Amino acid sequence: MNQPALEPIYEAILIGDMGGTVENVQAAIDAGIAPESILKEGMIPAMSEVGRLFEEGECFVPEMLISARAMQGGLGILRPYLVDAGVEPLGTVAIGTVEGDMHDIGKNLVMMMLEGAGFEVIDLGVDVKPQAFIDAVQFNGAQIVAMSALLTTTMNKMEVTINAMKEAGIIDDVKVMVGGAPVTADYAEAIGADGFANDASKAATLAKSFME
Amino acid sequence: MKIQTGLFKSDVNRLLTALNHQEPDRLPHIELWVTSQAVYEYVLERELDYSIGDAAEGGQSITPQDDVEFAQRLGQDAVLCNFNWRPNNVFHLATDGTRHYVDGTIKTVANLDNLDPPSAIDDQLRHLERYLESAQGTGVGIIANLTSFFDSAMLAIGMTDALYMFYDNRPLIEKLMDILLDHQENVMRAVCERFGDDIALVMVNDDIGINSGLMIHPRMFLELFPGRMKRLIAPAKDAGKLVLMHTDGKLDNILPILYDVGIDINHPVEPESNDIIEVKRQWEGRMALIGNVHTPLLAYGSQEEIEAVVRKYCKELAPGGGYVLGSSTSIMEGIPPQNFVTMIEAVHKYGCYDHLGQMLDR
Repeated sequence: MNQPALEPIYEAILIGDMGGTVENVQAAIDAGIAPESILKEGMIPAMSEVGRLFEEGECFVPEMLISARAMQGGLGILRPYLVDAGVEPLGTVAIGTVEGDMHDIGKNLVMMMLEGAGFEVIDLGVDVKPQAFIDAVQFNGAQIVAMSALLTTTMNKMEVTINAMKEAGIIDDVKVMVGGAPVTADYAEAIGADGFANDASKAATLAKSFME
Repeated sequence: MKIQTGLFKSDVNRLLTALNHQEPDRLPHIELWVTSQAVYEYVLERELDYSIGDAAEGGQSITPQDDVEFAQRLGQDAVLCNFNWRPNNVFHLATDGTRHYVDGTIKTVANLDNLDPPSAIDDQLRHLERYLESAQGTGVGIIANLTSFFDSAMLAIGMTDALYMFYDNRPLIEKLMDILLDHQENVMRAVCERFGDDIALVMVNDDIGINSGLMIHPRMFLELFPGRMKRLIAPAKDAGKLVLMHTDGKLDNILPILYDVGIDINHPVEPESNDIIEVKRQWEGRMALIGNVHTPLLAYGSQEEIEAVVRKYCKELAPGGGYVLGSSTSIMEGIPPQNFVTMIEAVHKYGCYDHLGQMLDR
């Protein structure tokens, strides 16, 4: 980290201290540090470290959630400054739980990790019809579609949605990633998804790889 | 629909032999939860005059008589009698009309005053009596299945809020766990004292894992879980009963904890996060396993694919006992009944211990 003033932000996010994150982001802004540096050198690396710790089994879902909440708190302060400075997100992801399925924890965790990685996320919610994913690509500029399903009996709606995107002629304009309890890499490949992630951290890594 | 069970009628001793890591006559099979009306009606060859749902989510269970007949027709050796207390869950209907858990309503200590009450223990015991009466002379055993304290507390709070609450308000989540535990411990004691000789085994239903392992940090989990779970299952252990625990998730770091607590059997060994052949090798003789046949295979696979998987399991998992075949979660609406029956028929075809994996010559 080049700027020592960003270290308290990094540490606060890492331990899930939302108050500390907000306070230190404001302090960094007041000290004249560029908003883009605060985001890309302080906040995103902290969430990246949370993801690494999760994948290595050193941090768990509650720790990931409180870190993501701290990140959100900091972004709440920082976002207007990012807009003023013309800082662009890493990419835009439309995310939702597929039609017929109302489970949202996995989807929300992925959403938080994507935001923590610097993406703009369009949350389509749960029980999302294929057309809503298509609209997010056609009208809201989503470059990635992320679909979640918890149930065996709803995972087939991922394929239905991909086929609808093909019929709408947008499948080549977008990357599709899928995940959820019954979903496997083999299934993702079989239905024509571009990628599969079995946890929120890997989902963020996968989304970043799509933007390279 | 008639499954040829003539050679292998329901026999609870077959199940118990396998769960005690010995080889019975054939690999047992069991479904702990069937929530598909279509599957029940297909197997029973008649329409039910009531609608069933997921009992753990407040739905109507199948009646004891129908459940036992279902097991007999399949050559399944036992069925569950549920003792559920899942208070303050909120359900919504999806656009396709299916019902889903979405949240809990316990957000503050004050909300505990509005906890949905459990069913009276006497009523629950009468339900068990009906199961035992229905099963008498059939060979079908009865498993007393109790909801627990860990996931029930999280569901009552709301899963996402509960996950935050482990840091934001741990005393509340612990208080709720203790309220749930106190009651379910009383149920367990009553079941084991009055019907310990009659039931096949005891089951606790508590999801503590996800596909990466434990749901919460092991340090915190060890503070919250083992002591309470030991209390919950103590009456069953005192009665000499095997204890089965259902939990989703990757089992690497979970099974050692369950084993230390006194759990004898794990269900369902989800294939998304576990290599059951490796898990069985590691836990041979110490922890019996039930399940692992991937429900997407049952929902979307061909009958040939299903039969091939069952045959593989008969050859690779059945030797030495310690394994009971079943699905990786439950038999839910949307799984074609014929696919479910194909799985069962394949166990009967390839699961004879005299020639595992080879077709039984009838």
